[in-house]
Amino acid sequence: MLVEMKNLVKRYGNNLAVDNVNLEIAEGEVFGLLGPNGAGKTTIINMLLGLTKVDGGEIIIFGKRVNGNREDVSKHIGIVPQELAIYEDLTAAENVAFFGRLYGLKGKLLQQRVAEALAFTGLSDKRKEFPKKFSGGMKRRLNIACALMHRPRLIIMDEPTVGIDPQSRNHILSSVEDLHQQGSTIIYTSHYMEEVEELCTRIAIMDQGRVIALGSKEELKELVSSEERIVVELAGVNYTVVDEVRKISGVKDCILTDSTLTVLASKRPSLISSIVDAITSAGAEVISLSAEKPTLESVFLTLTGKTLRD
Amino acid sequence: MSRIITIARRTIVQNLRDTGNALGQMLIFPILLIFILGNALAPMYDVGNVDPTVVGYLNEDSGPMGRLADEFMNMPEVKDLLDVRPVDSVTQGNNLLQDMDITALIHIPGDYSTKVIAGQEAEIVITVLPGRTFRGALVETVMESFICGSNATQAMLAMGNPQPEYRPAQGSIEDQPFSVSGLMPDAMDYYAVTMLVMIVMYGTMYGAYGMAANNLYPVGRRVKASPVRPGEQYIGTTIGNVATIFVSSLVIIAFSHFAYGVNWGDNLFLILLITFLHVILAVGLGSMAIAVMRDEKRASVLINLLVIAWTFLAGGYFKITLPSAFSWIQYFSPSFLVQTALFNTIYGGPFSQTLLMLAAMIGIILLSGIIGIAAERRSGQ
Repeated sequence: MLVEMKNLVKRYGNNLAVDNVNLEIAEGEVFGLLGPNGAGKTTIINMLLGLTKVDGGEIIIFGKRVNGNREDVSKHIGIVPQELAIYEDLTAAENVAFFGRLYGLKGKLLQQRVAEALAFTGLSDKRKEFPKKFSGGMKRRLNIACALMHRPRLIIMDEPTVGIDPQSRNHILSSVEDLHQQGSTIIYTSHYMEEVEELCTRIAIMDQGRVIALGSKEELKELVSSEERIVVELAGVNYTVVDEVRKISGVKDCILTDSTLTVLASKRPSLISSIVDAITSAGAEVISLSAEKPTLESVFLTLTGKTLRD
Repeated sequence: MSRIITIARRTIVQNLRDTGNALGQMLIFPILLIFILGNALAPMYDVGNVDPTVVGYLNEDSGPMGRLADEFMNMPEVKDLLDVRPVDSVTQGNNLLQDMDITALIHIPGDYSTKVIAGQEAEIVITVLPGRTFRGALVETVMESFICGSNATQAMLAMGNPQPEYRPAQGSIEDQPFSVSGLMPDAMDYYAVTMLVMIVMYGTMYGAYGMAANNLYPVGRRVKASPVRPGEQYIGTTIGNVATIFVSSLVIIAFSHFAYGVNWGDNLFLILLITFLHVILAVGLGSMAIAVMRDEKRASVLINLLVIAWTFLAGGYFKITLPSAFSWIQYFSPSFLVQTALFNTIYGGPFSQTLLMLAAMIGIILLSGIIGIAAERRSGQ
């Protein structure tokens, strides 16, 4: 295993931020850490990097305990922090070169890796420009370039696509795919369910400091295979619709967004007709209706009782 | 070591590119202030000629000493220093003093000669207007000169010379103009030192920003996630900031010397050493402020207030003289320590005091360094 977390515990006063977490990540995996704010994802990442003291348990990376070998272990880790962590007063190339030097690169090799990292993130033509002139997406890509230039064995990406345009987001996602194809091991955290679903080979769902589910996306969906997600487009919407639908036996949750009603419920033969009846009795009209297969979103909702962005 | 150099170099590049701060605050601001204050306040620092001090003179002694006193007061050397106005009584003299028409009253009592010749204690009464300490001291000095002469005359009388002549030795009272150039600062010299000290003290802001960037900003935490060892980031940032401020100080010293003719004394090495230690002290204090407060805005406000207070206490804006009972307060101002060391070095003050100031500065540097590195380690808890 490339990364092993054994009985990991972190407390902040009386708050148990990480509660006895056990995880193993194999070489070449894209491992997703999924959870709402405060679930403990960033705390775990900080402990992996040796930035936050571990209160209990241990972390072993590349066969070495992080505690006592931080500098040695961190040489082979690339971190893409959640917040932009670049220098606005250094050019794109200078930013990447600065972090390269911290990881021991110098001379021609340094210049070569700077060029490669900027090319990989689509910033070659911006190498001499200052990030203060960059769009949010370009800054995010530079944030990634600074993590890759020393060719780390383990790349940790903490919410790398937060707040960026679709073009940059697609670029980043395809970059992660490329890194995976090249054999890199990646730990990927995100609020965006579809990203995790698309990229990750295995996923841990976290809530309140604990891992509440772990497996491939297929394994996780199997956990809620007895449920279905029904999406109804409505006309003449009023809020009594939600109350009426929630009264139906087997309905676990019901969310109204604009004119779209999303219902999560246990599978049973007469469910759809019950929902249509409830909508009609509430004075609304059904325009279209579809039953969807379980997604990670519905898995998360089932396991935690809340949406990922709560 | 290479990581320390990398971090130091990045800090310098950042500081230089932050042109509004680096060039504006650290160079142009003090150079302009030295020029403005040095010229505007020049008269306060000029050492001009002293006009003769107006004194009332009441001589009630008709004996030989009284006659000698009259002769003495009419000597050209004394007239250069004292504008003697004879009065008829102590009451008249006191009235003139009250009306501030005279600065001092010299009263020779009627029994002065008798007592001197008899070998008894005799006194000449000098009354000086309150607050005129300098001119009062001048009158006292002149009269002491007379007393020395009168003692010699008394000795001659005792030896049997009935008509001794009062003839002061050449140079006993002489208005000797002396050059103060290089021995006392004029306004430009004074403000070159105080503005240098003030602006280096604002280098605390660099220390504070560096420490905040290392510990409170995401990019600082990213550096910590790299293979840097504990303390390397702090040392590298400090070296970069110290280098930036020290080079700025050199520019101020060189510019003020060559453009304004400011006197930096003969011991340039010691001046640079004091300045270098001062720069480290300033950066260290800024780092310590962030380490303790963990809030960049609050620390910046505190630092700004402290620099103003320290500069004021050190007499950076204008010279201040605290009552001796309160003069110890000045030693709480790092600016005072540095200014004292610099002025002592330039104008030949006691070297032992300079060493004491340097020792105090090194103490503050060590303390702030220990607290800074401890805070770096604490940030990972």
